[in-house]
Amino acid sequence: MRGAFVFDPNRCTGCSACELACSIENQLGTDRSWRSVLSFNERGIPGVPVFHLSLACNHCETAACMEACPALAYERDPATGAVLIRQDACIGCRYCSWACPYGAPRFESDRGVMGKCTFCSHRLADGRKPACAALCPTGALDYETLDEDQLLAQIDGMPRTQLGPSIRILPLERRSTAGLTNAVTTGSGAGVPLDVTPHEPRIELAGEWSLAVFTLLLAVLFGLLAADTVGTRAVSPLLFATISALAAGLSLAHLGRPARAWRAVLGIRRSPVSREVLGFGLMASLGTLALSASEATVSAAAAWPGLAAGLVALVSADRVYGPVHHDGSPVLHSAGVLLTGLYLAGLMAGSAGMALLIGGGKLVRYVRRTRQAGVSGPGAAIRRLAVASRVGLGFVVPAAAWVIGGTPLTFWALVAAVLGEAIDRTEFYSELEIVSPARQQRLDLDERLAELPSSPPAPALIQS
Amino acid sequence: MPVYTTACPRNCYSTCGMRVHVEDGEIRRIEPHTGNRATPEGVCLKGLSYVERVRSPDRILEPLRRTATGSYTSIEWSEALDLIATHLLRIRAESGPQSILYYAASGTKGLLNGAGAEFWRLFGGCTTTYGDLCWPAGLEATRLTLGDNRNNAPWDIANARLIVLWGKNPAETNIHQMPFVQQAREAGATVVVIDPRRTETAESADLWLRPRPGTDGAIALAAANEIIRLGGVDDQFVRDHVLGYDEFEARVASLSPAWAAEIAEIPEVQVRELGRLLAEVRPATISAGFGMQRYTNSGQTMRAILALLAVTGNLGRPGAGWVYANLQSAIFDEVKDPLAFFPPERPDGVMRVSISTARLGHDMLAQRDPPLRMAWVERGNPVTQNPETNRVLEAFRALEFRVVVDQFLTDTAREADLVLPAKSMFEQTDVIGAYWHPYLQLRQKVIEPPGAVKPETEIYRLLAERLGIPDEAIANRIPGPTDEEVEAFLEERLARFDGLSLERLREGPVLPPDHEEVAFADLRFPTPSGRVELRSEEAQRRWGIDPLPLYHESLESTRGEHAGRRVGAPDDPYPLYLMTPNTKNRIHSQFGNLRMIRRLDPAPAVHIHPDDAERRGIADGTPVRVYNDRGELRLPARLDPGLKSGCVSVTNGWWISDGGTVNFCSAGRETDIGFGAAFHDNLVEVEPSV
Ligand code: SF4
Ligand code: SF4
Repeated sequence: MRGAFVFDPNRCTGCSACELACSIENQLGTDRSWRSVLSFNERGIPGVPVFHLSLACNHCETAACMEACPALAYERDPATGAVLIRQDACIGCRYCSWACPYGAPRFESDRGVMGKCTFCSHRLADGRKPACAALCPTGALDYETLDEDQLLAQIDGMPRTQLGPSIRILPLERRSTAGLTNAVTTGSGAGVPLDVTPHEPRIELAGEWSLAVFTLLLAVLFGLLAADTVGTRAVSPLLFATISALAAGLSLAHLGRPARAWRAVLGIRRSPVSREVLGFGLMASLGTLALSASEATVSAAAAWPGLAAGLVALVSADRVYGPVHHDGSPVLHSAGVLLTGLYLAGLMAGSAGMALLIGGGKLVRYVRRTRQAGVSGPGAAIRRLAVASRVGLGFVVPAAAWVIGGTPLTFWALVAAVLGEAIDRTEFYSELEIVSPARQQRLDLDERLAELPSSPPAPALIQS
Repeated sequence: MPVYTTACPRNCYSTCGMRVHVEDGEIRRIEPHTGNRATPEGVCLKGLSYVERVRSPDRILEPLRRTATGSYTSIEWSEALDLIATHLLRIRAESGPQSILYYAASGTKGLLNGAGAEFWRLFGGCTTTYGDLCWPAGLEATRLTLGDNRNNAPWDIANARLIVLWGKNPAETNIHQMPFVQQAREAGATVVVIDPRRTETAESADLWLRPRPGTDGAIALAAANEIIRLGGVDDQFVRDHVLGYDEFEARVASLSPAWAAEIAEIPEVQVRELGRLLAEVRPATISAGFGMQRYTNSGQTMRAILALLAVTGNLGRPGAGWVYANLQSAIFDEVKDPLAFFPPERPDGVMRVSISTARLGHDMLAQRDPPLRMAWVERGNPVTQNPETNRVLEAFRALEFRVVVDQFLTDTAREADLVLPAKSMFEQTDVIGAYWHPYLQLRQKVIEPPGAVKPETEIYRLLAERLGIPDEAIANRIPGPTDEEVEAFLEERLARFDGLSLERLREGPVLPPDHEEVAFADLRFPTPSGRVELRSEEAQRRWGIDPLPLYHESLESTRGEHAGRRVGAPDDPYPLYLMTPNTKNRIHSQFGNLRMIRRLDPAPAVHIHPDDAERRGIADGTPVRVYNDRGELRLPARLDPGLKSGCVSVTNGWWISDGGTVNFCSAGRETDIGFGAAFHDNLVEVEPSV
């Protein structure tokens, strides 16, 4: 038994009173609500039903947001089962919004922290329903205490998950094929495209560039430390420390509340972000120590643990993207942080085996992905240039430099390699998609459209 | 936190009962009053947005005087009142009181609204309007047919087995009707929706007819033809309670479903199906919208639809009947609507009722002996809401002095020389009725008016003082300024009815005395014949229309001839119907300025069918010009495959600064009966704007 939202799409008219009820009850001001009403087939494409979903937080049994939070800012209210965010503990890293498939935690840019639905636990505490459920004018949205087997979240536009959301969505019943009814009297207008793209939460490079550069620097640092440690290239401690400081600054810049950055390591037991941060911190400090130490024993004693921490950081950095990367594993992506770190290490250390093995793997994966996606349409010329640069700078230039000049590779050959990786990393960010109801709507609508009969049916009457 | 009973006074079907939570003089929360059986679940989004509206930074809190540069500066009440008094006295002395227009609309309900008319009478008279923008053709059709505008209680529709939502989109305009419709549906009822747009309501219908606008009368007459063919007439009811059935039968004998299908441009099977359902399924309720009766042929349309209920005996029973305007709570009105809209047969020489609301701009300009020199506007925004915005603007600009009372700087207020701040519904107690449900409700004062805001009653009293109108004259007509005086005034009116008092209303909504849960359950119809009149002599006498319902094209139809246009010709200049429906996000031009509402509905767009768009080189989002001889609007296009081809649609109520003020294109004309506004007869063309 647990408290749950009950939603009847047959009653909901999409009026948005629930959104306003939330804004008012929780004093969120006029521009913000923790609840959103989404319309399926909002443009009314004939033959596909239009209906609405009113969604906030589902206070899942397995709370993805809570699991993802590196700062331990989430907690569950034992009395109501509500998943709550402690805004005074939130560092504003936004990873919970990547992890939640329902779009519940939202970044409050004015305060630099996340906000989300509280189940109106203050109302539940004194026996009143959440404001949205209490105020829905049609009775479409309600709150009830339900058995586990009454929970149901299967409807177009609702992400399918294993999280155990506390919601019961009744099945949609549409007895007429509304959009088709009058098909005989009007043309389809099929020649004119409708913009049906819903407003999805997106990961935009413009907003995430600091992370993109940070992860690339992580790989560079690992390569430098590895090369110095195996003794094939002497790395200046100043260079290493400078890059480390730059990387640290970039990761801080990404936070809504940089002053609370220290909290990022609290989630070490399950958050890849915490492990990434801790691994990076250790690699940076031990690496700087190793490179600057004059004693060889001290240097070695710091270098190897530093490299180990670096490996943890690289793997964790990839795993951070698990929830938003939908094409295989981010660790095996041609721009994966681990692979890039190892590849750069091979190049910098002059290990032909490592460079060939990892670089070859990256190249194969890159080529395969590029061929699958194809290069056509508007922007094809730019895209071709990008692909050529990625392969040329990332692989051809270092390989040529190696063949012509041998190891150690020149500084400029390494710079070319890093630039090639940077291009790929940019592509990686453009492929990321946050799982969200809007994205699910797009996928499901595509499916419904594909199912439509190609010729308009006879005018519909009552369907028995 | 103190909690008060109140009710929303907007011109809205629902007239929701409310429980308002107040903390430190601020409204914190608005919850439904479950004592209102029609609106028990919750108020709509606009009702919730009052939390913002009362404290909006845009609200007018002091009298504003227009400066030479066209901006506004706040002034003291004394200065404002002196200014008005000076103008009133001078204009009255020079041209008589009837050179002043008093224009009040339906922005808010309340018994105290009567203060305006009382004041102008004491002043010696004025010019005012007859008719109404909203619903007179349907009211008059109902009065002629059934004798009175009385409907079954809103929740009774749940008992219907067949529901026809005819030209009505309750999902947006009467959201509280939807749960009752859903209840009926869950109990097995069939729901038919008739609307040229694929509305939220049409979406869940069992049968959806998408006719050409203005052709509903043809569909109704052909459905009657089909009912008769299928033997679905309730012979007993017709024999005992219907006047003119035989003539009606003869009239529709030739009006086949094929005939109507051709006119309405819908499949014939759908007309037959509507007829079959009405012939076979009982009880049936028809809930008719207001938009459909704003055409030049709409009195006859509404009579034809009413006839369907008469021939099938769907009157006076639970789950059966007509849901249009339930005026059972209008107990305080001496003359009930629609009669109250008609100009007096014998003018009293004090109030000159000479301006048709439908033709406001034209008629204002046309007044002679005396012509108009000044206007006072309250509870209304005629610049955007009355037909022919350009003409209305011209008429207002032709005056010497304009006073507008409002909460916000609407487009009408922006024409004023002096804007007076209006109270909100939370700042003075009043008693309100409704027109969908039957309740009387208290619209209670829960906070003090902010800033220098004064209720209209007080404004009138202060003005009367300056004009030298003696106190005794005002005493019983306009209540004094204190809460006690207002309450005593209301109490006195309530006391005329058994069981009504402020105390009871403070508890919650109260049914009026003699409330009929099922209207006409006694099958007595207060028409001249005492029967349901399919044939109405009064219709012919009063309005010059055929005594039987019939169909003719509306004046401005794509198949009609008007204003020199050559219909169907390749150079037909205006081939598209401009539909101007209401949205859930506003009540006409109210609420759209609030941030809470803007977040949901930031800007207007014209909906157009992809076929019509393609022919004009218009894509989704293309900026377009919607225009005819009367005016134009510029806004982006939004392709809508659910809309009937040949129609375009813009929700009404956008302010001029938003770009979507639909009445720039509408025409100032009256409906065939009732002195309504036929501004939905409105053909336009759309082209990409350059
Ligand atoms: S308030 Fe109710 S009907 Fe309105 S959008 Fe929310 S769930 Fe739907
Ligand atoms: S605008 Fe209508 S539905 Fe909304 S609160 Fe007021 S009366 Fe109720």
